Amino acid sequence: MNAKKLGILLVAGALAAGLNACSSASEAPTGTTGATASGDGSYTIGVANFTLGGPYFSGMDKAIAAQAKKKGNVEIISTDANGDAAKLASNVEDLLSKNVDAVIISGGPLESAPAALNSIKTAGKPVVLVDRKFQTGEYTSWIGPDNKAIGVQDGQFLAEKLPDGGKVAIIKGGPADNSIGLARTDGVKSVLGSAKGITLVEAPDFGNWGSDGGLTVMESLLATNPDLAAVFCENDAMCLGAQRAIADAGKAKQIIIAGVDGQAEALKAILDGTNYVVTGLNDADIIGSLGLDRAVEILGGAQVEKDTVVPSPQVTKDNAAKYLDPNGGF
Amino acid sequence: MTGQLTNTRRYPRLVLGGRDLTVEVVFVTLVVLLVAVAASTSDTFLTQTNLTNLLKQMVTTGLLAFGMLVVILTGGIDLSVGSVVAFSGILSAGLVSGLPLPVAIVAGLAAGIVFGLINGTLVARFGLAPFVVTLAALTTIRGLAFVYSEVPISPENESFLTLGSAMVGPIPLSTVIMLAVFLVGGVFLTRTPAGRSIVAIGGNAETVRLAGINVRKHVILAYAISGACAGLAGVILASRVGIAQPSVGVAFELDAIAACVIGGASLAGGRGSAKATFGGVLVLVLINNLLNLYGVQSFWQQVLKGLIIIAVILVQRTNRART
Repeated sequence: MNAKKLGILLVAGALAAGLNACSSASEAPTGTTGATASGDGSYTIGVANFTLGGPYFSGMDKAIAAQAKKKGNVEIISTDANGDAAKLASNVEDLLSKNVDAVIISGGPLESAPAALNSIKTAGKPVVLVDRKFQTGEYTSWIGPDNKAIGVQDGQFLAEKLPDGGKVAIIKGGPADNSIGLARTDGVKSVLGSAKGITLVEAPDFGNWGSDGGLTVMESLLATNPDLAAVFCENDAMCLGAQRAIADAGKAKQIIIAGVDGQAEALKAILDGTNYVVTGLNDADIIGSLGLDRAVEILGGAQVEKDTVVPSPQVTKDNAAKYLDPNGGF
Repeated sequence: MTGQLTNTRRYPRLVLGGRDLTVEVVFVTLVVLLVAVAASTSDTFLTQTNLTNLLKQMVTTGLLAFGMLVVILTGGIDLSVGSVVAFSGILSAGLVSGLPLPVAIVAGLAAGIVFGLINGTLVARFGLAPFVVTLAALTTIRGLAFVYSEVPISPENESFLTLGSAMVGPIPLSTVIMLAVFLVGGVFLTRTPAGRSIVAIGGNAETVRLAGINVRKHVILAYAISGACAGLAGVILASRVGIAQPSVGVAFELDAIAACVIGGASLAGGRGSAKATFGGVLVLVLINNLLNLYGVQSFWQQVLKGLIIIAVILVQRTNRART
């Protein structure tokens, strides 16, 4: 009896799901034909996160969901690949089989995701990349920061702060082929490498993008180069660890710090007038919500820009208060 | 005939001055050699800054390695320690904003013990494989750390930072705590009935059971000790960094296992000592420190670290495999 009932329920459920899928599939084309329909048609958008292990990426995922909620008619299905490229591809396939209208990929440090992009292309769905632009493969649109420009910004600020030159250390996140970090460091080097009197010291060990890594790498740097004048880290989390190491060594007055991202604790340190002097805002909230907007625009049939660089304003003591949101996710 | 066969299968022995090298001699030689090379080739090595760095940087690996040793002695393994570090750190950093400092520290430690008790119970009472249980715990506890807080927590109470940065004379407080754990732990394993039972279980659990000793209870105790060490390491690390991150401690279990293995502990259980494990920790930390001082690129550091671990184990094995 019970088994029979269950069977009927299952069949009914499957039918309902099938009908649902049909209706949403038939809605998508109407959406693309008439721009006016975009306000009425409801969409399901799949989000494929390469990783949520880091405040920046989890903030991005939340921002996408929050923006979808604001729109009211967009449902989000979010997935996490736990830092595994193969899992990302299978997550995308799962999303496609759930018949999402569009996919947003937050690719973290991935250079490319050919398998994921191919299956989306085969399914004929639009794909919006947030933060990470893939070097190969076809995508509909990309929204993200210019990492090299952020590095250049930090470099220029440090050069101004160090008119007499001095040693500037660079703490990298790693691994060696992480092109986000490379772009940031390249930016800094392009300015400071030619600046008068400035010597660059690259830490041999990676800080692995975390505060604990930044701390240990900085400790080693302080042992080998006690006369540092400044340190640049590829993200704020590492800088915050480095700041602790510098404070422990009693060198807070000697060494200034430049980071990237705009993590809340870093903004607070900058605002408080510590030796943490500058960061470049790489706002996950803005990039995430713009990414969702972009996906909805595409589904509505709008012609959109292919690549959009979100500006990364320089944050110093003068304007840190403006960016420090005590309730913000990141 | 068979006896001869086993004889011919002997591994080559390393002999020094007519005597076989023991694990202890290998260690002392290795550490002295490393320090001598370091001191003579790098101006920085013997500076106070660097020596303090060394002392600070061995704390996390040291604490985790001792806990790991206790579990390995029973023939088990604890892969969850890195996640416990993250959870305990972020829990105590979160609690310290509203609660007194000692309560927050104890809560971090207690969380580690609770996780250890759960791991131990699943292994001992339900007979599940330690590898599987603690692998599941690794992902569960990491998830819980993110559930507690997705974003890093910087404790509002400044006194939280003292645990990680206070000095006792020239030695960091955290290092003193770790050394105390090894000293007390060493005595526990060699001199107390409970400690000796843990070692004996790894040798032959059935014999221990027949001797009237409660095997389950001691296995659970071993995992609880490992959890406690990981909890303590997590609190100290969060205090040292000044920010607790839910993502901290990934792959920390590997260094802890490596330290035990370099220290001659057998993954089959029953063999290993606190002293030798501490030697293993020293070797690992010295290698890291030296490669950094020489400015060796990070990927070469990984390669060299792996090769050195294999080399040390080979040396030990050649001198142990005499039956």
